[in-house]
Amino acid sequence: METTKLRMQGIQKEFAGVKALDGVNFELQPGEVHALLGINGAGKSTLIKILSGVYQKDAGSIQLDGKSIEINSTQDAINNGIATVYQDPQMIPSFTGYENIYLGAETEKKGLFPRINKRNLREKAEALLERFPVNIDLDRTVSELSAVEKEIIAVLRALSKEMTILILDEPTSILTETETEVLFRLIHVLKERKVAIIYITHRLEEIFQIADRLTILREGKNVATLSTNDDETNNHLAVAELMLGKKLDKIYPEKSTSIGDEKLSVDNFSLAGSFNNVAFKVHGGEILGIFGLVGSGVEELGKTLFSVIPKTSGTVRMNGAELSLSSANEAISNGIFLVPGDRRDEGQINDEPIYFNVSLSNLKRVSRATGLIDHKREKHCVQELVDQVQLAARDINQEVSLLSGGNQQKVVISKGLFTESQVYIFAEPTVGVDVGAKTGIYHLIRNLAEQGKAIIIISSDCEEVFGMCDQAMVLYKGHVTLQKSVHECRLEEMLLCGVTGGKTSE
Amino acid sequence: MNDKKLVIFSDTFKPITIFLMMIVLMFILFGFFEYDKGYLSTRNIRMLFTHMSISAIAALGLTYVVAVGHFDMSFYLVGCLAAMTTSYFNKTDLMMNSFMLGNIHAFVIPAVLAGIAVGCLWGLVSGVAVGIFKLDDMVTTIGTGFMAFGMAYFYTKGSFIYDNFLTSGITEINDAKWFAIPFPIILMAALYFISYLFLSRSKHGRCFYATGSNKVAAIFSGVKVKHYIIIAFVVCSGFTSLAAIMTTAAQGVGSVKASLNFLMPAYAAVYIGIAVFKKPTVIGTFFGALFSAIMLNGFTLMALPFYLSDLIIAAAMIIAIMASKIDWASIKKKKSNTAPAIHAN
Ligand SMILES: Nc1ncnc2c1ncn2[C@@H]1O[C@H](COP(=O)(O)OP(=O)(O)OP(=O)(O)O)[C@@H](O)[C@H]1O
Ligand SMILES: [Mg+2]
Repeated sequence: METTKLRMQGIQKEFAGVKALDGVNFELQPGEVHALLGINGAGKSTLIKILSGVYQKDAGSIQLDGKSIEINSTQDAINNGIATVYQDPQMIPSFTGYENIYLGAETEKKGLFPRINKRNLREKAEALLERFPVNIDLDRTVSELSAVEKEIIAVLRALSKEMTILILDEPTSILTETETEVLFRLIHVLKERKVAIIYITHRLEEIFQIADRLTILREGKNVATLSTNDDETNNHLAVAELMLGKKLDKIYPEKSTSIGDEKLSVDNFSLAGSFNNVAFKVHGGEILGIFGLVGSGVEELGKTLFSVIPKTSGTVRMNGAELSLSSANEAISNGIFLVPGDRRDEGQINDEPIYFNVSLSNLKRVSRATGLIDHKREKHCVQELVDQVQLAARDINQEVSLLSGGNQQKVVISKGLFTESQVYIFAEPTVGVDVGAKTGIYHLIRNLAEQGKAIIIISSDCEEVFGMCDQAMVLYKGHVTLQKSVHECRLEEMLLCGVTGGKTSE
Repeated sequence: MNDKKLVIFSDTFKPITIFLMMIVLMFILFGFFEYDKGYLSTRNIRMLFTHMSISAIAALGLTYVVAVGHFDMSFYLVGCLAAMTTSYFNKTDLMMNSFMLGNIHAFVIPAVLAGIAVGCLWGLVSGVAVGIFKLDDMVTTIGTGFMAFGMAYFYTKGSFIYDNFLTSGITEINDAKWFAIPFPIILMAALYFISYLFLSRSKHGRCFYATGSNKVAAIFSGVKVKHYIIIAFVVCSGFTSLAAIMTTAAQGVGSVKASLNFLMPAYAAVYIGIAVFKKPTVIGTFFGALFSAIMLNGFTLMALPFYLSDLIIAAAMIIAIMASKIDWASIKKKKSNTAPAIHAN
């Protein structure tokens, strides 16, 4: 047996009275892919942030190659060969992709004005792209990039460092199948070079594809460390139950049985450069799923329906009457709400409390005729919703930026529920959400449908669309490649239509 | 049922306690040194609040702009234009021929309103440029500000306007008293009260803060971001114009430099407020302005030259900004758990 690469023992971390980590142990062998699992708020990100120097541990020890080390800054971690892709990578929006990759590491030269050789940076970045071959234009500024592209930049940035440990915090919650595959290939290459990898994800099926071992955390404590080769662990449900600490219900709720009147009907809907000629109808009580990879136009389709992007052509009818919407504000007042996919940038007001976020889209509901807010009513309504989505938070006065990823998503969904809309568009509703909460969100969505709302789920997770929806639509490069009732189609067919456009490659 | 109220109360209560402690401390300090000069006399305290009201109203306007996440470098210059506009109207023959309302000529009212309207118009220009055309706020408002300042010279090529000041009754804006309370203090109290309701208690206030905090998310939430940015700039210029007209009334002369020294005290008040309340609030700005006013007043009694008090207040602002960046909780625990900064380095 080789020497253990990393040994973290008895790690403790407390945030303002919340014990995020309570004596966690974690070990890593060279060349191992070690999955770190746990439900939202279990402490996964906190543990790896301690390892990468973002947070300092309150107690415990870290040994690297058998030697005790202290990691006091992110620079310490990098110097120790620990590279990290964070769950919410921070970048400078006005810098290009290249500049962000090499931020703070532009040159080896010392001095007050070390010269930065742009050409050199570009060559290095291109060499990186050969190792992680994805389709991305690094000359664009980060503010123009989509969430997927930002994630890719974050991975490239980690790869640009000399490393023996690579930490990936939920990379695939944003990436789609195509990039995920590239990432997995890359992980295999790194493994062969004896790089040890810590891999955090909520997609359990991935673990059995790439991980050698897995460690499960619950409420800041170790629950188990297992090898994925064992038969008994080779089973999503067993792992999910260990994470949750209780039996898991069925993931997807029953499909709809009663379909109401036509709610939303969209014809000839186009956005130049993104999607063409999309047409569909959604009835009350029905869930329409739209599956498509990044770049297929699904993301834009959602935003265009919600009128944050102006459409190029097409008509939208609600209950038979044609709508002409020119802003999200008008969409909301006409009963359409989009729960956006990129919650950090589009979904939430970070430094404000939960109640502020939840009520923001429908302040009328909690204000008096004078325009003043009725705090009592607001608290009551928000609390009710927050209980309904089972948000794990201290109370509704907590800042949303302090919540774990999955709980932030629940806040954004609560905000949507608060508007009491007729048509809900959910973009990537379960990104970064743990299995337990995922089930909760699915049931919530189904519940909404049962109340007679029309629902559209836009997702790059084919299984989600297949499992949740009554009607399915698949977009490939802006064109509809499949549109039928989910009862009549197979998962493989949908996946194929989304990934290749429906043509089997010869 | 009331615990929510309690929490909201305690959230604002802590910062207010901090401020009250600071202010009591300063009163004790100055009172101790300046007792013989009547620092703690009713007269001095009334004077303190009267002086304060002008800079406090300008700072209140600026609070709106900072709340929507922008900067305004034009308001103090726009105030000069407003002051000159009012002074110019005050000088016209129309003024002395209008009927009397008590001891002021009725035409004073449209003269004041004209000044404020010109100010608001200028705010509208900045607001549209920043909110709709998405121009950079700093550069744009430096531009619009100096345009306004240039315009202020048009009336008299820059010379003072004395005409009618002693006779039209315009000085009453500064001198009038209601129940022994000087009119400027009443104006300040009224504007602060309305702004408090508007920014901190109404649904519109939420939209201002949402816009300032995350524009994209605000748009996705149905907030009319552009409207709120424009309103903020209009309010800022409008309030500053009023403050500049109040200065004009107090000095009894129309000057192109009426509000030229508003810039630093207004930012100081807003940022001292942010340092304690963590975001630009009406109450925070009020205490920020009060804080500066107490210092200024104390230094004046101590006969410190004006440039020294400017220096000290500016320094207080910088210290306040630094203090707001410090994570007190982590210092208490002697361990840093600062929020993740940019992860790259
Ligand atoms: N900076 C912080 N301040 C206060 N509390 C925090 C902070 N960061 C994390 N927490 C709390 O610590 C706990 C663990 O959070 P962490 O982000 O590690 O969860 P996670 O396992 O990564 O969850 P997710 O799967 O949702 O990303 C949560 O209860 C969270 O609210
Ligand atoms: Mg996490």
